[in-house]
Amino acid sequence: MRKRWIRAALACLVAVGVTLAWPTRTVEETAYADTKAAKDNLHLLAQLVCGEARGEPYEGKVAVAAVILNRTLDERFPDSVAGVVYQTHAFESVANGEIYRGTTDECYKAARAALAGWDPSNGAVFFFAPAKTNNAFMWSRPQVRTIGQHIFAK
Amino acid sequence: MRSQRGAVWPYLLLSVALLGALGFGWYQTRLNQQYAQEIENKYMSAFHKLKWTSENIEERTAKLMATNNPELQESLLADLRVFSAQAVEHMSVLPFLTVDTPRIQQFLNTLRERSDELHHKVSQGESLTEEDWNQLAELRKQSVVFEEQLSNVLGLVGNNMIRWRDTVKTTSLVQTGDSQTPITKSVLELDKALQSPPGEENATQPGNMGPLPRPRTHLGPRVDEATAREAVKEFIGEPLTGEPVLTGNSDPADEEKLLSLYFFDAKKQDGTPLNFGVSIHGGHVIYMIDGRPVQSKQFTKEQLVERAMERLREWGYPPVVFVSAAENDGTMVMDFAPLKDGVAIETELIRVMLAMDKGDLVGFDAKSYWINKHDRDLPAPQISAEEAQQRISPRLQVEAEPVLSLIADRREQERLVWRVLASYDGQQYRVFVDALTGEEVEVQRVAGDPAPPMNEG
Repeated sequence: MRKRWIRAALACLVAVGVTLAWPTRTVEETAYADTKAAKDNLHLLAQLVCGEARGEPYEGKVAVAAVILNRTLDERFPDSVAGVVYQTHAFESVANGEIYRGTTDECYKAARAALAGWDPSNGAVFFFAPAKTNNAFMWSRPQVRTIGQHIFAK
Repeated sequence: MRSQRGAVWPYLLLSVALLGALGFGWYQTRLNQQYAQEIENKYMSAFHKLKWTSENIEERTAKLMATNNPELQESLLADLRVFSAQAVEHMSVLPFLTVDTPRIQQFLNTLRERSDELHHKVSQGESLTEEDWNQLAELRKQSVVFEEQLSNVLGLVGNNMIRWRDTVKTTSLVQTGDSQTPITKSVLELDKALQSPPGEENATQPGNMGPLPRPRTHLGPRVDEATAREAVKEFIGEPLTGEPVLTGNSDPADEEKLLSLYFFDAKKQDGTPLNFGVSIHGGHVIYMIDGRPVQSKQFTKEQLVERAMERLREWGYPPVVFVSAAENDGTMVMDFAPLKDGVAIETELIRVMLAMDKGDLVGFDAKSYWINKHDRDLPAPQISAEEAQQRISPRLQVEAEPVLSLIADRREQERLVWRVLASYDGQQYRVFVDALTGEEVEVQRVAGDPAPPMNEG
């Protein structure tokens, strides 16, 4: 009984110590993608980038994020990032839940780059892995370029 | 007797376990069925909403053709703009992404664009022209077909003859897309029934849709791969590991006359991968990406702005003015506008990204510059900087001398404006006041805006 009390007291001491020693965040200049609106897009974009392009090179990740943003600007697609990401059949990783499986720093970085205006897909609104799909619609799109395992198309 | 009673217990326990398992199985099946039904309901709801929207579009276009009252026209056009946008949203819920329906998309997009444009026109006090009415009459015809054809599908769905589950399976990306369901057949028939207006038949071709950059001036003679590779090396200005590797190009035959690019991968001597896009015409580096993580912040914004301007001078860009900067993940993303006759041409922004730890280049994008660059005759401003300051909201506190700029307004029209930097409640704004009319044309929030894709075309 006494031992338990000693253990509890020690745990409390450690917790207080960690809390006091934890560095407080200093006020920083508001960053590009640090705002609420951007953050909402950033998280979802980064999740989708990881879901769709986890093993792809950095440029391929930025291109996937750029495709989402291009779709929001294209009147054939919904206007919001969430609308595009959750469009029925739009992305396999959404259908199989892969987008919820951990998001890496590189995916965040790629999403941030796309939000900041970079678009290596050169205006593409579709991408697909040729090894994984034989969907006639996807193959009928005019292809823009290939990055890693993905073909980007209009 | 004792042994007989003992033998009963296992059977009893087994029966209870079996009953429990059956009960659990039944419960799980019920949950799955409920879940499947909810999915079915989601599609059904979206379809009914689409149908309702199509009825509204049909009704509003009918009324629009019948009214001569500008106020009513304005209200109906505003409704059409909203309903056409809603129709696109409802369509996106339905499993039609892989069903090729270019005419439906064109109809809804044209309706949205035209209603927005004409709404603006009427709200400015202008009358609709004969040409406008002819276009509206075409859209009216299409809206009738759209509504009627959706009624046919509704007949099938409403009589419980169709469930969405099969269509969802058939249109999945993992399918070939060859098989059809009664729903996909009806949607394809709908698409076929919508006739494109005369002269707009080609607009539904895949290559003619979407956000595609098209330079406004000739970028220079066509260059070969070797010249483009040299442009990459010259641009980066430091030794690379090996030669830049060509990974493809966007339009080898240059048939589309767009901003055709060579794509290169390169590697710095420390192993950092770099990616480049170089224009096939002129051999200009259009963009560059370096995804290296930035560990610390050693440079100030002012130092990085100075550095970026120096790099732009080295690359041979015309004199530029600093427009804005924002910190992004350890980098500073800076926009610069070329100067012409003292005017900052903000439709030709050049974006430079420098790392805040070493101050080196980690990103570059001059797409807007090379797409929008062309000779212009800039008009003289009709109002002074002081007058422009007086036109902005009295709640704003002006923070800097207004700058004469050329911007693209919401209708992608170039306008000469005074850019006034002002603040309210600790938040900075860029207010753009038309330098010819004094009209306030745009307000941008400096910090707080998500970084939008760059303005093209």
